[in-house]
Amino acid sequence: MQHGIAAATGLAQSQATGTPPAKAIGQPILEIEDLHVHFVTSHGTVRAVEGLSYAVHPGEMVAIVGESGSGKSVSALAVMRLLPPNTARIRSGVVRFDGRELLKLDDEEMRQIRGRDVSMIFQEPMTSLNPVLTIGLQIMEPLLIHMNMTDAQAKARAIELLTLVGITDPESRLAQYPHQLSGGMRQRVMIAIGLACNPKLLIADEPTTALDVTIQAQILELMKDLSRRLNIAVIIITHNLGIVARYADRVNVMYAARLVERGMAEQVFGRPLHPYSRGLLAAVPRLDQGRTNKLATIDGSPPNLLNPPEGCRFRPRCRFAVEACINVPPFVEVEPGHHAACIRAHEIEALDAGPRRYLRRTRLRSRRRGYSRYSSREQVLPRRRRLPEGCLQARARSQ
Amino acid sequence: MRAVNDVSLTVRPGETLGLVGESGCGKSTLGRLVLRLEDPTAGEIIFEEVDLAPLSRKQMTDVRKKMQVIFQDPYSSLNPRMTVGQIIGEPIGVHGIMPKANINARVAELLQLVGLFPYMALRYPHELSGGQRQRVGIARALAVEPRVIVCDEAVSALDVSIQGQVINLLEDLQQKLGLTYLFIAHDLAVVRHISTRVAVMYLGRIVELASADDLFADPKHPYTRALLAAAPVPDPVVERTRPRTIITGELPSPLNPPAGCVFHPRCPLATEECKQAVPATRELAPGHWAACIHA
Repeated sequence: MQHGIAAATGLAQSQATGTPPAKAIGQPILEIEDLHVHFVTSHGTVRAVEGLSYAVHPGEMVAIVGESGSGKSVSALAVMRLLPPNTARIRSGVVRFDGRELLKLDDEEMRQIRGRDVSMIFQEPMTSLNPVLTIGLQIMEPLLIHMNMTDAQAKARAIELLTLVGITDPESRLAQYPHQLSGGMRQRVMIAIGLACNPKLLIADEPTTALDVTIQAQILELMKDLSRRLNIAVIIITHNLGIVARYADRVNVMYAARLVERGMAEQVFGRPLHPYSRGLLAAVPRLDQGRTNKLATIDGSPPNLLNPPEGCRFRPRCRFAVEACINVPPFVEVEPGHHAACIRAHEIEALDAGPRRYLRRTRLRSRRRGYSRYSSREQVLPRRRRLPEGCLQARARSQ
Repeated sequence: MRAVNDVSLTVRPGETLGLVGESGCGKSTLGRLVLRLEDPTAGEIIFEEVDLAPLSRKQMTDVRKKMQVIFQDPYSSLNPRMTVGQIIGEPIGVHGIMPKANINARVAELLQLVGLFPYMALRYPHELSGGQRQRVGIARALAVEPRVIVCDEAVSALDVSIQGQVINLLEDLQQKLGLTYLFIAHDLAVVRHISTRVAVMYLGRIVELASADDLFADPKHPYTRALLAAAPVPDPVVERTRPRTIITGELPSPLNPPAGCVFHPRCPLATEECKQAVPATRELAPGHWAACIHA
């Protein structure tokens, strides 16, 4: 089977036995430089993505993190050239994929690449699968269009793909419709479609947000494993920091249309340099640390992109903002491979020292313990919890 | 279909009882049963010494003054054609709590209580952000001065930085007003943070119940352990050393639940015995209950 993944897995097996492919060396498969995307609306122009640049290498998983409306999905759709043509304008920027400039291709050339070399997995598997076509037909479609397979070849490949993504009894599944599958199964089918033509790049936009925790773990393990084995570059868009920490090699943090921090996962989580990333990490309750009295929060809410604040976009919510933040901060390399768009990135750790020291201490402690249990009493801070008098004597009534 | 099966649970005054589980496990149904938005087939719902199950609609109206709900989706749970003031004022009028003339002042007070501004009473929901809308939902629930609030995935749809603000607000309000929460959510870290005690549900049954600290420090039921193992922690260094024990399979259909322990088809500890009978809920440590024969 010349198009089969048998060849690809064969190649991957030799890699899988050794160390995982070295990161960030060699040519990136995707490079985005200074991308600007605007939406023209009746209320004015929304600058949804401003000056975004990043690169993705084969076999690595890059995460894009940010709140809703920060431009993370829009930037991915711009790479796929799937933005709504009536309102969206790619003002400037270069998207280089495998040596070709995607923004300069005509529609037909782009159609050749989309679904074959680059594929995308969307958040909602129910709405992104066609409800009136069988699973089999939907998996075979890209194979018939892009790979010029015969029906028999495509069917064999579809069965192979369903097996690959862990669906049992694939042959009978081909005749089923999306509504006959569970949410997790549907997302596996989406991944199978995404992988059908052996893509070099897979863009997953919130691939597990609609799924339960245990199913989420199954799907992400599968994606990570496939990325390693088949050397596929994966861009994962999510707001779940736990997923990023567990699966991503490199992290891009976006805030209000701009990139504010980029680095290897250990760098961004271990030593966040931008006040927004620091705030975000402090704001999530964590299972591996003691309960805190109060969650640290970032005051205010993200700006309206119709009328964003001048200079640093995070300035109105930032605890460390100074006069000079009125100018747009440059995106600079603070330590090797670790960039941030904050003029105080160098001193941020010292400025934010108090709570940070506590965090590091507990983290060391949990690491020393091998992190076998999720919390331990000695880590638990005294917790303010006022119960009315006599509540503990309340009778257990519902037997 | 048995959405909620043989569940017994007590919520103590002033506490937050967390209810976790995957979608379809019956946690929202349980919340709706407590509010009598759904009628139980059998069983009692005792609130302040009164069984709610046989009450008529009219009798329930009085009870609802003391029990309110905050829904997950701040976009669809507010009427887009009503102003924020009308939304918050409506329950006050419906229950005839105070003369109409005083309602506006009360709405302004409630808006301030949830961290919004009185002038926002004239706005429509579409003019507010997601976090602000959820605060309006909270203000509406507080309008009738309830004793119990069912929070059904109340923070799940919010962005991380806003989620923290709303959680803190819920905790502050609990302290100020002595509220009791039934907090339904699927995010384990959030549930641990806010809850006094936590109940874990699987396929319509409660499989484990303990204080929040005990449950997360020493989970007894294999399903609780699986849930905790599957929840990623935002720290790559910790993540790399964590064992990857991921349970296989999916939630069975509640139309046709497995015999015996409902978790046995996915359970790593399952034995022949587990298929025979539904395991009894046992108290394994003071206040720590689990329904597993191997726990």
